Amino acid sequence: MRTALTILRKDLLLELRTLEMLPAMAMLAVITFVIFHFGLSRDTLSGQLAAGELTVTLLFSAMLGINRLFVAEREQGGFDAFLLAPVDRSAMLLAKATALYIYLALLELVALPAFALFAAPPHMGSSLPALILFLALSNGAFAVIGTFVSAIAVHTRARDLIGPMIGLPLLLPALIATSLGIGPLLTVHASGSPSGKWLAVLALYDLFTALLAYAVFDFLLEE
Amino acid sequence: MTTHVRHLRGLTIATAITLLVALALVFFYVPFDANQGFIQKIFYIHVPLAIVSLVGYVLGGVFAVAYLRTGERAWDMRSYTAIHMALIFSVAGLVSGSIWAKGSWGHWWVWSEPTLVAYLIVILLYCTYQPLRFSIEDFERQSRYAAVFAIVCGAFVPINFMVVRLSVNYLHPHILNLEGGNLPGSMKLTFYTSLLAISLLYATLMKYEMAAKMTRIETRRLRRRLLGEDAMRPLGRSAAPQ
Amino acid sequence: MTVLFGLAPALPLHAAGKYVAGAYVVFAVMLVVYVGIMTRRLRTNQRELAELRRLLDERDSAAAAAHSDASQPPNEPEQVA
Repeated sequence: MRTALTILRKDLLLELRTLEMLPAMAMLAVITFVIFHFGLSRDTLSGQLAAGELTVTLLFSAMLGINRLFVAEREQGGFDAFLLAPVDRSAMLLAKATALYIYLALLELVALPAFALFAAPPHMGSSLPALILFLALSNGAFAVIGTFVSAIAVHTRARDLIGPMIGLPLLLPALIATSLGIGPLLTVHASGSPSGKWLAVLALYDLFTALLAYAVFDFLLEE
Repeated sequence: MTTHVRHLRGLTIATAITLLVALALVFFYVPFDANQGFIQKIFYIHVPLAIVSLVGYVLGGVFAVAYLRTGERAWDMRSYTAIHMALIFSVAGLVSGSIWAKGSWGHWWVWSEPTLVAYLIVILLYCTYQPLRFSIEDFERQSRYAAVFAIVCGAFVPINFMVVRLSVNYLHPHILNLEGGNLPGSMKLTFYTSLLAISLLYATLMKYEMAAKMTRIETRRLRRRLLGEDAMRPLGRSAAPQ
Repeated sequence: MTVLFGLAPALPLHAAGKYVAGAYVVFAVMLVVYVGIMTRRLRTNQRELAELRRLLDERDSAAAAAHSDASQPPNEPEQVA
């Protein structure tokens, strides 16, 4: 636990000093909304279309972060140092997944207002708590799968290709649940209360991915 | 090498006989389906292919667990071959499913059929297995990472099916029960015979593939002993375990 | 008879036959292609094994020649065998 906190603090400090990832992720999210505007040729969006735009945009921005997650470790020999230290290997998973979760939450701080501004879905205000609940759960799956995929991809030759190729299909269940859960919240007759079914699916998928990643992560760090 | 070939002949004969019996049952014995008619006969090839390939993916994960536990290369080879064959079977399953959709619903692709959609996602996921192996140079690491991939994705297969099924039921009523819950007796017999035939085919081809791979490795080993490291040809574009 | 036709499937048989045949033919073709690929690999392997055998034979005969060179006058060692 202490190890995880140390790694997490190191990561956040590094990001705070270099500002390498977060601005790029936020920029990508905003530009994706603009691209969607021209691609769909709509001034306002509602329902499933709005939900799809939001989830796909967040997914692509998250991919950017996922690709960079272990780059510092690889380039500066952090892996070797970590493996030499007599600490629990799972600490790396915990720290990296938490870091990614925080990045995603910060990304959404920018992306959600931009989404409200550009897509102007109905009932954005009243369904905001439910929307945040969905994103909080989907970030969990994104963070865990992202860390897992990134840890695999960082040791491959085609690093930037392998990550999304494995990550996107694995993220699809979370994407389906988020998108279908958010969709009804953004319709004209939205009630503002979230669908329990999709919240449950997301929570269970979070749990499933977390347990699975915990079980296999050690094998990705061995030397 | 001989251990892999030992049962191959018996298995091949059993497969050929079962496959012929299954085809005979499909085309000469089982009556037309009351709702779908003749087109329903695709069911007897499509569903066994799908089931066997999915079991094959999960099997790849199970073998991968054995590899991580024991560290024996043979398990890595089994895991690789299981996934490799499952991929081939699932492409055949996907194509036959697509043809069935065209025949009975008029479209080559039907999003409202959750089994087909979930199946596609699984195939897309496993399509990255060989590129992943190929892009890791160190053999030991390659096997280990491939095993981790096989375990995670093997567990992902059933979960994915559940989530996609939920997503479709939410929007549409379920049109057709592909698993054939309550089939009449003759259809049941035909279906299970086909399933057995396709399973045997999977086992045979897997053994065949293993034997071929092992022979290849043996040849390379001989070459190395005979001519030394310099005479080794560079490996071709293959992601197979070495 | 008319009752039978009334119960007949919505799709005419001749149209359905095409798709059923298609599905089974795809399966058969994939099987044949797979066997074809395996045959090609087997042939490559056999060729390589034959090459190794030839090299081994050459090396053996060279060794035998060298051996007979040392013990006997250098007069066509092949004819001894």
